[in-house]
Amino acid sequence: MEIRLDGWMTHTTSTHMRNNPSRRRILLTGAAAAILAAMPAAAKPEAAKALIERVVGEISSAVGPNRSNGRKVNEIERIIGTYTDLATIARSTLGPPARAATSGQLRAYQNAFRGYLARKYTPRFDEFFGGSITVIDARPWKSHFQVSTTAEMQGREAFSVIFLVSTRSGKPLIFDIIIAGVSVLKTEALEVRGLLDRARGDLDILTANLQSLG
Amino acid sequence: MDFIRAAAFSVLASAGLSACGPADIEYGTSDPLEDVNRVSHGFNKGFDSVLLRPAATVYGTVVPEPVMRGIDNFASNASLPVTVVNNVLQANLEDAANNAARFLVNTTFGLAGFLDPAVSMDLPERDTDFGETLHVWGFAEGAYVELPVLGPSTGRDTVGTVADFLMNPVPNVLTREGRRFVTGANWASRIGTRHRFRDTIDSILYDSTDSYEQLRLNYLDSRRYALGGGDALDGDTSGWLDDPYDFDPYEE
Repeated sequence: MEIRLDGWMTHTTSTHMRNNPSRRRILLTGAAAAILAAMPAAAKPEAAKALIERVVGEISSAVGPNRSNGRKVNEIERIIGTYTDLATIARSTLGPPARAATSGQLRAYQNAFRGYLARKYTPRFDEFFGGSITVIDARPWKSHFQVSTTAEMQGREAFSVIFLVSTRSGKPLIFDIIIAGVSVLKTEALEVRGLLDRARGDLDILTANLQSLG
Repeated sequence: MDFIRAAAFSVLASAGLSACGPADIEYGTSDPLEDVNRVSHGFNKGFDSVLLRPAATVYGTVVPEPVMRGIDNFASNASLPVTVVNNVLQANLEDAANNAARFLVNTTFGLAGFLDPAVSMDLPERDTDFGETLHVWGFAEGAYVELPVLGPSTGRDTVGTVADFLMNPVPNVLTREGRRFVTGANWASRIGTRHRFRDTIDSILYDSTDSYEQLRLNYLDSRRYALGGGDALDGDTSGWLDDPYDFDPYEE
């Protein structure tokens, strides 16, 4: 079984695209237009870096021993909703079923998915309380930015956390976090695929099931 | 060293390789042994839930943090000689010197390795293994395998694990009791790791829809990332990570 998501999505650097010049031209024109559209918003790695510093700061003050779990989850859910490109993340975790879905279904899924992420990752952020994330650098990556950081926690070896940031929505937003090489987006895409199978491919059932998961 | 040189030579010669660079970092998943791997995964999950996980809970509750760290230090120090051998085989003499100096400092001043004075002398561990040596020599990753008890691996890393075991000079210089002690420390360290990463491991094994696939994804990506020197996102990343923006919600 193939883990990668090709087939779900084509990627700009893939070989089958190179073999198809007309498709390439269309994609390139689309990409150029999108890059131009995103330019004024934030075309510099500094903006991506500033975003990550702000997010790390907000997460640190959202968790810790002095807050109830419910409050922490709500705060993390707000941070996810504010600083990540949930529309893109939600669509890419769904794969092809996203194309067939109505915008209402997608919005409902996106909201349920946001809550699921918050419930699932709040304990991890919480566990990280007292640790530190240091931004090393931010640089262009594909048509996006990668912000490299080092995470340090007591009693553990330091590990790398890379935030992938895109300005395609009009402002810099996170669309993936890669922790010691492991992509949260890929992990969750795999999970959602399993959950969608379990819901027999029914997006509404998946959305309903997500409410109690995480 | 004769054995190592002979082994290295025979592996190289048999593959018909002479001078070549490291193998490409792969992407995608080659898992022709999935059926067998899933049986092994079922066994490992049982092994974890019956033995490893409860042992880790007890270990984490009973053993104080400094003692845990001491045991981890000891186990990792005992594995340094074979790490140095691999550094040399990879022609990475800088890391070899670093790790050799680290071993000498920690074995003597660090009380057989329980303490880690070397790290404050700017001699941190630069970990490697024979799986990485094979990677540096240009061998491909091979199929994904999940080994009973040992856990996720690849064809290349399985050969590496066996070679590291055979090449390890430490057991040869120890008494029987000493060897038992090192084995015990290795297990204790593994149980400690199970304790430290309990949330992540529990999430993969017990809270996912398909723990086999989640573990495979996690292992392959973190291993490839480590072998790429943490640079997996640099250079040509085609296929390493699909671009979710090819599926652009803002253009529709």
